[in-house]
Amino acid sequence: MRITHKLIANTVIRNVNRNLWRMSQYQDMLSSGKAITRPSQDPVKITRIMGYNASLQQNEQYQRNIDAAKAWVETTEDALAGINDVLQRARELAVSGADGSKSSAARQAIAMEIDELIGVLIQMGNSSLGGRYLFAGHQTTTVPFTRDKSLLATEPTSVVYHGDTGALQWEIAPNVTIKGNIDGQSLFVDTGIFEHLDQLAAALNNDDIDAINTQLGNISASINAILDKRAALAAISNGLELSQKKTSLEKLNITALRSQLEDIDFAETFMYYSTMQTLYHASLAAGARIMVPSLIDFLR
Amino acid sequence: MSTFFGLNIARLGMQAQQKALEVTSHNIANANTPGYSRQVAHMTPTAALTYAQKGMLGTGVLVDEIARIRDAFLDRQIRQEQHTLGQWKARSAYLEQIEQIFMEPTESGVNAVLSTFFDSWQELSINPESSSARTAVIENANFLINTIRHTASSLISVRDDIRANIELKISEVNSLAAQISDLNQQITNLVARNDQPSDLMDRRDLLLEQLAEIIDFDLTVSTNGSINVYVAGRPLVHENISYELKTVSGGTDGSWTLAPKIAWAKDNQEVDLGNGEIYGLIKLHDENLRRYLQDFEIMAWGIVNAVNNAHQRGIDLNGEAGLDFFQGTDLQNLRVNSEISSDPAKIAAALPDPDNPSTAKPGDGSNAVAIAQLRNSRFRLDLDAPDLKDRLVQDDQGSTTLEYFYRDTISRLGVDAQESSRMKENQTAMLELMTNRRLSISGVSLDEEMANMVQFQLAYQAAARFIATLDEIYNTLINGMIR
Repeated sequence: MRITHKLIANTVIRNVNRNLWRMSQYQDMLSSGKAITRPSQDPVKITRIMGYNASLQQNEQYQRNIDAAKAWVETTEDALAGINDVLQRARELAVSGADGSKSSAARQAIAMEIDELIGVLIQMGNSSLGGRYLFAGHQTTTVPFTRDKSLLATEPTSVVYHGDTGALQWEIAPNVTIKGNIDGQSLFVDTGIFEHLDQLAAALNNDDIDAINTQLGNISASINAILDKRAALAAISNGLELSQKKTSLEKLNITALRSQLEDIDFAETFMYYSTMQTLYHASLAAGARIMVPSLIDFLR
Repeated sequence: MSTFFGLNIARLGMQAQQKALEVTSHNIANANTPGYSRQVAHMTPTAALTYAQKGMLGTGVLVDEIARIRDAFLDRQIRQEQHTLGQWKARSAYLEQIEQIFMEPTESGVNAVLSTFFDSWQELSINPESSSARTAVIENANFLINTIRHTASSLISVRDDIRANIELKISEVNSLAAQISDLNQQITNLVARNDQPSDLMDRRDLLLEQLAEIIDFDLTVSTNGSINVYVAGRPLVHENISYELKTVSGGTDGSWTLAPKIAWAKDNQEVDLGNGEIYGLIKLHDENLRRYLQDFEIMAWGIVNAVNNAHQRGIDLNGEAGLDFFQGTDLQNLRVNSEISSDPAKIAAALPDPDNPSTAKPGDGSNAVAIAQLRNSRFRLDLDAPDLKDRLVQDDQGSTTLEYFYRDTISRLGVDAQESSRMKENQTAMLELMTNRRLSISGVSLDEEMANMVQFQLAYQAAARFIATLDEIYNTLINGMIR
């Protein structure tokens, strides 16, 4: 092949350019830490990376949802524990009120304490988390329980429930929702807790030992009902705990998969980069040497 | 045979060597001229004389041709490959631009923004009464819409750019054709006078190569030296006449305005191109870009319709039925319903109670969950729907989801861009090889020219020396013999 000076110049320029371009590719990878930055580099991988990105974002949201559900369930558990304590105290008071040797004055004193306990229970029924009432069903912005003693003239209880029976749902995994709330209707109204306490207070005031005993039985039943609800909540809480573990494990897996696809092996890439750099310098040096001499240098 | 015969031979020798030196000098001067092919002075001995039946006596030398060294077959091959290079170069440049517009996979791509949009509905579902969660939904919806709108309008500006580029390329073809026909005229004039217009031919070859990248053509060489160029069977350049091309409206296919068509200016007859840059631009416009833009629009309306439908099923903080969440008739005027953006309480996060449908349920986020779940909902692609807005329909039996559908577009774009850049690189590499071969044949080697220079210079000096010697001989003959 006949070699001409233009040919040499073209070849040198092309090779230097190509080496520089490759070097810049590795530099790009090193500075971004990513092996793939545009769809054309690997169309199949890129859609998988996009899928993993979306799953990760979704996963983080599920973590937040689970955290929110857990906070709700835990606060509810605390409230239920408090309600349990109040009911236990009410039961003790009922037992001592049922004692035939008690004087009327002592029973009235007990009735006053029961009245106090109703107030405490209302306070607990109005527990809130972040401004949302725990036991109001869907009416989370309405104070769920209020007391109006004048109602006792016509109604069995002085406490009114303003919430509804709505279930609060948290999505904790794709298309998996859990119900994490206990509404005031099922907790206080259906179990008749306020009714029983109001009636107990009335019976104590009336010295009606039979009625006191009846309410004593009712309160014991309510305590059992609350215990059942606590057991159910504990199950939900455990479930959330498991979901949380699963979600963070998933996050680790997806991150690892994504990293395999898009992250560079730093040591390997740096090695390639250095090799390219050496090649680039070599092509420059070779170009400088090959392009200079010609017959002109040797003619006099 | 004259006494001064030898003087004449020496004169011819000096003249020929000088001519050859001039050619050498011309070669060196044009060593870096694009398209230049080296020239050689072909020397031939002049007709010999019979010398008293004892043999032939040479009479000297003449430069009978200054020819360019060129491989016409290689030129043809290079032009062929240039059609293909032109096509893929045009495609690849625009596809690269389109890839940048979609910005995948980054935080600013639709993939991530859509995910954030649905996440904000999740966030609302766990705090449905919170006005900050409501405002966040509106902000993220605006962000989603702005991203969609920006992507769509960027794609549209690429589309307009391609159209403008086709016009530009046609005027370039016309200008090249005019220059080629002009050169044809000059070359035929010179050839008729038995000249070899090498430099003009080099220039014409260069123009043909520029033309080859833009449009595919056949060519024939006439004996009078002109080159006729045929595009799709009809002459673009015939002898010294060039025929103009122009663009005409390409019409529409459905809602898509097709790329302009190419036609002869003279009689409006359409030209069917098969390769080259203009062909690549038309294909890119009517196949690739059309698909990306339409799929993108289909996906955007799929989101809008699904969210609107779900939103209407819910009730807002006041117990009123949900409005359309998004409003707008096309992507450019799409926005969050102004009633909702001015009053976030109108976001219908709750589902109505069947018994009391208009009772407000501030703590209920179940409709927000339903909207968030749209990201995993199945959709069906209905290609028969005349309007792009109705093509992506929510359907439990469907085969795709919003995200899958979008990712398919990106994957298709990736494949297209990858193919075009590979084709471009392959063609470039092949052309480099061919160009190198041509440089090896037609290129100027300075070493060779230097060697030639020395050679011609020595021959010139020798011929001059010969005249001096003859001069001495004549001196002896004329002045020395008869006194």
